[in-house]
Amino acid sequence: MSAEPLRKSLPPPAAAPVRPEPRADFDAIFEQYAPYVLRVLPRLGVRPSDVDDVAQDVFLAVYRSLERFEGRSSLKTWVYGICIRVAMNYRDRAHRRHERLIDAPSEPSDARTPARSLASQRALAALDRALESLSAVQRNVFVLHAIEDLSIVEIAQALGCSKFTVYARWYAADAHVRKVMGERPWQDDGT
Amino acid sequence: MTQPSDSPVELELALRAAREALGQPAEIARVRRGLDLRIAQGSMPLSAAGPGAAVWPKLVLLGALGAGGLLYATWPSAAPPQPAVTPRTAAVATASAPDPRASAAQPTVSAPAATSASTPAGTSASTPTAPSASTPAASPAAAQSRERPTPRAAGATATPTPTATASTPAATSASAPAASSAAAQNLVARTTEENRVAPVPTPTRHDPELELSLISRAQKELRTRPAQALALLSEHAARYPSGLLAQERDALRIDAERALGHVPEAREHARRFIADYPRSPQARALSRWLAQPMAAVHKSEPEDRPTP
Repeated sequence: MSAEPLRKSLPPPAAAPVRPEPRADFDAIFEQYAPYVLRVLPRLGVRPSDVDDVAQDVFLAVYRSLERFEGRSSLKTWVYGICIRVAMNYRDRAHRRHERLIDAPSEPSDARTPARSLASQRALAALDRALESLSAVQRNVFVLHAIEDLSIVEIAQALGCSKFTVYARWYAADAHVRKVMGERPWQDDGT
Repeated sequence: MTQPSDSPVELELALRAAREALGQPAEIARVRRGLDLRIAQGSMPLSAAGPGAAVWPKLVLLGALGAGGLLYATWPSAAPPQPAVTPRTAAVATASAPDPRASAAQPTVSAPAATSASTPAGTSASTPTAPSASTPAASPAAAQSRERPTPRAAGATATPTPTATASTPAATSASAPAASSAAAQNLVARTTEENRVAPVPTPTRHDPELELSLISRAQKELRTRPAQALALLSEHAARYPSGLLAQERDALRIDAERALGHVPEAREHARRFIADYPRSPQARALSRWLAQPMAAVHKSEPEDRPTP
């Protein structure tokens, strides 16, 4: 275990090219993760109208940092970690500009799938409201665990914190969301 | 993932809906195009100054408006308060101020303040590296900003960008923020004098910022008004047939034609695109699209069409 960092710090052999074609790697990463990035960003508080731009920010960061990716975590947790940081940066800027990030309640929170049933749209809007009432760190953990299906260990890697911290945030977030969702009056509203 | 059995029905429904909301192909293609454009232009973060705020096109527009306003103010026929300019006053003005011909003779493509303001330091904690210096669209402005750093970002909106600099020498000299009002008046006098002799021909040289703004506008229009996007792309093709962003234009044109239901034209352009840019990321997706039979293409068009 202790020899692993030492081996990585050694220079590679001269004959072995280091990432001869990073662009090709990036293309594969984009194709694999773009659907998931576009799925997670709205749940992290990015407005639907801004999702394209923020997703570009995410992949731009991936593109720039790809050569420095050392493989200490999986590619999936690395990309999700970038998503979290970019989304938090976006939310911080929006907060400083006093912008309201949730759409009007009457609108579907995600206009990308218009065929979705009304009940699902309402449920998703309620979930977004519940997520909005969480703290940023709890929201990140809840979204990654409940929607993106990352394990607690993977979330700890993506966020760079201990798994006990992730557990604590998950339980607090889960309890809060269930409480808020259970109080929603729309569930009797002819769904 | 742990799912306790007492979870409310609506929460289950919401989580299922959230998991099903994966990015759609049209959406992914849109992100890819924007990403390629940003990588090509030097990785300029569009949403750096605000959520979803494409700041630099706005700065370009503001700069163009500012340059247009200055041009209007300095244009001889549109400046009635100017006193009658005689050759003597023109000669006096020329002697008392630096020769504007020097700045007019060097139509520098410079938007230093606008460019530096649109790429603030530390806009994203996860994007620390500097943009690559090999990007053709951003390199002139970047070189300018290195040579003459602008300490105040607030001056960005007032600084004309080269969007309008190609029209007259007056607008060209406006790209220097330090130009004094005396020099401007001097320029008015000289321009007036020269215009009485012969009209100044409009220079037709390549303007990367204008080219970029055409493509960016077309990209935004594609979501809601594909016909408008197609018109902008046609304008780009007429102005810059082999411009820096010709590949981007051709890809957007295919999408616009698909969105408008012009499938045969789109397929023809797609074949040409694949032949011209076989290693492009879009070429693979277009090949898959072309591999579908026409009936399936027509059936799948509404789903692939860019959503508003």
